[in-house]
Amino acid sequence: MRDDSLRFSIGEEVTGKVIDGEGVIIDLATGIYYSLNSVGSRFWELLEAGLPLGRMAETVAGELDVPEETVRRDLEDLIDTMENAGLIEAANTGEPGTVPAPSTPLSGYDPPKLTAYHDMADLLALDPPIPGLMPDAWKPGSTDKPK
Amino acid sequence: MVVERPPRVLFWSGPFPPSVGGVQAAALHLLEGLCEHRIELEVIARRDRPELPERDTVAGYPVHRSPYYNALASHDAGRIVQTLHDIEELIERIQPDFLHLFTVGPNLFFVQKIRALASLPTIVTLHGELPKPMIQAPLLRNVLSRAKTIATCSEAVRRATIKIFPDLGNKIRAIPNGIPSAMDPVQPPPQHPRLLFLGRLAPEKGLDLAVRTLARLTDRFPDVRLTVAGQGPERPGAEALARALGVFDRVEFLGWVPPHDVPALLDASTLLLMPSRMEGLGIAAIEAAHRARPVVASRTGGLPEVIKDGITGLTVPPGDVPGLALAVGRLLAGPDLAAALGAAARRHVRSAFPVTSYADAYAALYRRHAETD
Repeated sequence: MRDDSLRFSIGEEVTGKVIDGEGVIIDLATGIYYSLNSVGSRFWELLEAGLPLGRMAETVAGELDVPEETVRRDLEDLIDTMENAGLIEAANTGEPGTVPAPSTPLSGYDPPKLTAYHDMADLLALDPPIPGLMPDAWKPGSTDKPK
Repeated sequence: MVVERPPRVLFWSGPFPPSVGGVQAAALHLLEGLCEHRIELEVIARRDRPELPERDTVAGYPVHRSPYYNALASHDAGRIVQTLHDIEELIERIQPDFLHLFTVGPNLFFVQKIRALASLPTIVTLHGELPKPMIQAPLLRNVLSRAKTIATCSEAVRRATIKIFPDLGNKIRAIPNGIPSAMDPVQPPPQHPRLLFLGRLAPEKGLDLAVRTLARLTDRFPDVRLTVAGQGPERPGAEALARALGVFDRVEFLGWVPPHDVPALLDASTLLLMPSRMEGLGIAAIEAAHRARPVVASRTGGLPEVIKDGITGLTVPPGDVPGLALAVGRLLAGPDLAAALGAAARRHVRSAFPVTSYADAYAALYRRHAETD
């Protein structure tokens, strides 16, 4: 078990956003996209705010009325996963933050889950937009290279 | 689930009119054909450009354009999450009975993420062979595995898909695209030989091969010209190649041509040249056949289903420039043969690719899933 006071910083090339309980994280260095479920998104908000590990678990346990040891175990699993993916690293710099209000009230407790999408570049390449539409590029009887 | 009211379909097509291309044409013809059926349907399409309206109506069906592609490509997590919420709200309002993914690509991210979509019975349409990197893509595998039916635009794509996913073979079936028949009389070919290349100027379409073919014909047919209708990244390379081969003054690059002008363009051409390296079905070949124009094409993908070699057109192995030149030369030197192939092609596509069968097949699929799921 890690120390309660441990805090984390988000990787320099990592961008994440939570809106209404939905979280998306992108590692710009690897091009891998991640999504977080609602509890995972709440942890991301707390992590971004610079809360130490103990406070994060205590906060979510309080908000959802779940035993703190359950939340703490799941949180440490999530932290391990995010550290291994290079999204965050332990860094006790700066002042610990205060608890931000949740972007959306959580409806229940599901263990936090981080899902990786490794194939986003391939998916984007599969269905690329057609180059710009030019409705006036051609009229019957005319061409863009006079003959 | 027994649905008393008409099946309510969420139809998701990335490329969609007014942009042009084979998939867009296939989507439009399907929606026009479905109007004859009792189907409720709403469309999600890609909003590639801000000037396209967010809300629209096509063939009488509501269309919702979403900037989901640009959001994902922007690497902006905030835009992605906002787009996710917008699509979730839309789904909540539409309350579809099932999902028809008319194209697969980055839309799979949203399908996987949005619970209301991930749990819907799904039909997937594949318009071509899947590129190698996609075969292992977990998102695609997940969606195809849980799809009720995987429809392919041709028998060739069906066979190729079964080869990749043999375990899904029992739910993969071909529903060839259909297009409305031309009712107007056949126009005579132009006086001077004119070859037409019609399509996106993408590497798989083989514009470079068309230019090389032209260069082999000029000695024998001094008046021969090539018209290139379409746009895309291959144009600069094709222009440079035409210059290098000394045929630049024989090539007209028209750029994008609106769909309603395509019949006139075909009428003004002697034949359609389709040297594609890969082709799901070949809508342009069907369009040419409706105008009674013969097609000289590569034997790839679904093209042999449209063009019966020696009967409705001429086909050669992919990449065979001497073969293409020989075939084109036969038709330019033999107008009677060209006219006979064109007439046979018109009869063939009218019976093999009618828009009614195409729409009927999808409507039946929608009803079947609505009744059984």
